[in-house]
Amino acid sequence: MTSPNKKPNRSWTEMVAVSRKESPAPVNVRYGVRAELESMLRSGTVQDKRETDWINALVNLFNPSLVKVGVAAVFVCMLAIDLSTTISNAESETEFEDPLVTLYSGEGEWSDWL
Amino acid sequence: MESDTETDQQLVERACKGDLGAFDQLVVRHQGMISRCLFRFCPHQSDLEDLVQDSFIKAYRKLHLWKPTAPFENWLRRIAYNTGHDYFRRSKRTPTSLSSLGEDSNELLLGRIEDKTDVQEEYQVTEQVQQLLAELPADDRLLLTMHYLEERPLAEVAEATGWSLSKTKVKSFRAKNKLRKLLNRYDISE
Repeated sequence: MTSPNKKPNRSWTEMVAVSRKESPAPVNVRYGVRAELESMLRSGTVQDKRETDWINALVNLFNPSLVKVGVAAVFVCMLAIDLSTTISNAESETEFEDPLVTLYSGEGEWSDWL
Repeated sequence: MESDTETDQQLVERACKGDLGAFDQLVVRHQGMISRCLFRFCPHQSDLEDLVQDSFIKAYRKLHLWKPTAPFENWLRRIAYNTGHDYFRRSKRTPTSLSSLGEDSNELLLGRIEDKTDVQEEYQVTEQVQQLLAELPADDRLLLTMHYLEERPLAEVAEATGWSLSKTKVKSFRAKNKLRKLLNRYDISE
């Protein structure tokens, strides 16, 4: 059994140094990759890369820099619309008749307004 | 052989047109480099082969996105690091780290380290390092693996992860602090 008081015989620096010297046994994934790709091509799943591109494009629409530009553009448009549709005082005073004002000014019966 | 003299770019162009033989050649040419990269993430041979294979499948799916302005090897390496990152995330969801083993984890880690010093040296230290790093979140584990074990500069870590360089520096600083606490917890000297 191991004791909790026992220390590993290597420091972190030593462990990292030894680990850097370790290298993997040679791998050969050529046939595995080939088989997988052939199976994907047969089932048509490789073709999903175009769909993925669409999804990426959609996701990119919401990336922070584009969102900032979008918000700024919307703000400028709202400002422009607001400035171009200002109602002049004269227009609002002459053409608009408030039914409550008319009612309380004594010119009509209250039931007329209803 | 003709394909030995072909550049990566020529092989990629052929592979994009559906020539699987050309992609085979790319696999043969770069599988050693990819397995050396991913070995730091996963020293177990069978899992390592799966990760290398996954990296090449991902590369094939994204092959049309590679631009010849950057070396194909660098682009492939970035895919391998992302595969390694995904592996860390997956292994975090199904923890095999020592914290999941209960109160005796300190003792267990020390036990494992000592047991392995008596047996064959092969890969054992990389495995011990990864067992220790498995205690940390996947992002920290990726940073420390790439920066400490793979000796990659932070700029390359930033490029591989898509983080900004300043964010990578901040995350690296925090990851080192977490590692320091972890080493203290297991009574391992720096």
